[in-house]
Amino acid sequence: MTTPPIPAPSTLRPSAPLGPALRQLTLAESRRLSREPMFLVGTVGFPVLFYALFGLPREGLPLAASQVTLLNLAAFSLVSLSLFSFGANVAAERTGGWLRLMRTSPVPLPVYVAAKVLAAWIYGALSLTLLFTFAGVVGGVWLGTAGLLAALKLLLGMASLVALGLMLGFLIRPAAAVVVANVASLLLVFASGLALPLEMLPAGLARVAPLLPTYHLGVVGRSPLLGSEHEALSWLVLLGYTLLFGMVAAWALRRDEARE
Amino acid sequence: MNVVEMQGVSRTYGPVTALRDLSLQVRAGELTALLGPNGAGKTTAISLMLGLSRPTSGTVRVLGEDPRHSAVRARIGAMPQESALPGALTVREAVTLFASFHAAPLGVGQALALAGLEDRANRRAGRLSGGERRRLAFALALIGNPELLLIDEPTTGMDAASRQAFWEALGELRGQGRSVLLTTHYLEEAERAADRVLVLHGGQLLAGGTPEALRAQVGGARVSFRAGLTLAEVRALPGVRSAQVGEGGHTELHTDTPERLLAELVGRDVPFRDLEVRRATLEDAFLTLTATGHSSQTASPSPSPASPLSQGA
Repeated sequence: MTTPPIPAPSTLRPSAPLGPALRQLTLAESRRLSREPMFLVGTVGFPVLFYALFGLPREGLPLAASQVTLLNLAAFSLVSLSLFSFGANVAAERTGGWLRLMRTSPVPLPVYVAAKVLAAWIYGALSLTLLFTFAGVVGGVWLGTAGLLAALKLLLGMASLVALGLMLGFLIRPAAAVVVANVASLLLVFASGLALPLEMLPAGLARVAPLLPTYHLGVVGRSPLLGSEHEALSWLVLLGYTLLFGMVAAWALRRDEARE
Repeated sequence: MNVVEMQGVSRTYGPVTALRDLSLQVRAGELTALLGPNGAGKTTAISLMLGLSRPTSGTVRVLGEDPRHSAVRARIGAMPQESALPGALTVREAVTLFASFHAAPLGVGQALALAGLEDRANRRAGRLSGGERRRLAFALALIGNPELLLIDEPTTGMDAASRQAFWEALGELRGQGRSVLLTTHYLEEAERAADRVLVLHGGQLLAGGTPEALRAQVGGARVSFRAGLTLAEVRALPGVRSAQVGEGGHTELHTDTPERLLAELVGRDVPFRDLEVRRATLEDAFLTLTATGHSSQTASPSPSPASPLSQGA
């Protein structure tokens, strides 16, 4: 073999700083997303399609209403990204052994989770940019600074859905995870009024809507346009859901470890 | 000095006992093979050493520390049995990712060379063959320049050339003072490469020692020849443990004392031909040990005192 000599392992080993590991893990996650572009169908494709069909300004749909629809569909896009790209994917990494290999590495598991959240934000921002650009170019609907503020709020609120995705990923088998992610995202998107106005839903469903994290994501997302006296409450609900889902995810992760 | 020490380790999963009061040591600077039939507890033992799980009772020390602490993990290269790598990453990207986990990693190119993956560097992990995936897992285990490699079933799925390259790389690492513990189903590989062999059975250590010592413990040799002896006469020869006599006087036997047996045949002037004498292989030893399932400490199947086996020490 013509390999250079292997240096002796240093006896005094400082732990590696976590910054480069976090950067590399986020990069790896981003590469996975950009190379398996099917995720774009759910996260960008459907919201764009819905907007093209129902949301573009026309007779009977004034610009202000079209802008609100655009923000609702922006929230829709983040739901799909959180549940599919992160939930279903974590389930696969967990059972395929990748997570196990990560656990044998010196990098603490929270860094692995943090990289997923960072990548979710990067791709969430990208999805919103695509959607807003479509609305501007095709429909002439530009949101301006309100759009930027809405995007930031939506991305922050998205943390609760990423936590939900991680929770499902750590709880459920991969085959089931895809089905559960499908059902959950449909329910979360339709029952909260993000895809269709709440007035179009059955009255019973409309009453349940305020219990859903996506309803509150909608509230904070629309607030730059509509304002909201209840915005603070919605942030509290989103924070509560983030903590709840995060704790269940952590519990499920420990349950996995106990099975080793 | 020992790189791994397990003292009185038991591990149960609900009603199933995977390891039962297991004590073993792995010496520094050696290549140790952990052998055992399926379900013997090999993977459980490796999981404990990797810090993936906690023993139900007993203690596990790796490089002098509790392997559940992340500080010691930086000094260990891990190659678990299943490690589905992210299919979207290329080989080079995956190795670069793991290099970022370590303070003083090897060069990415060097790890790829050791694993024999230079010409696959830009291929996506998802498009690798089974053997290439094992080699990538090997590169990921190496990249941190570990003092100890813990490897579960390394060569499964590798073709003959890959296997040979893998053993060469391991030999090179051992030559530089690294310690290696691996499980394998390929006994002839273990026999050739391992300094020391540990045999697990039913969650307990059945035997431990150099491959030569283990062979010697089972003892003797397989002898075959053609002669006009009956089965009863063959069985009466010195040291015969089992024997078969077939067509045309073809005799196959296993003896503890091949030299005395041959002396007896010659001394009694028995005409024989087609003589073949083969030392017991590690596989013979393994099959004998695991078939009887007795610990070498309590019931040695060999009367020969020439090869006392100590528990992995």
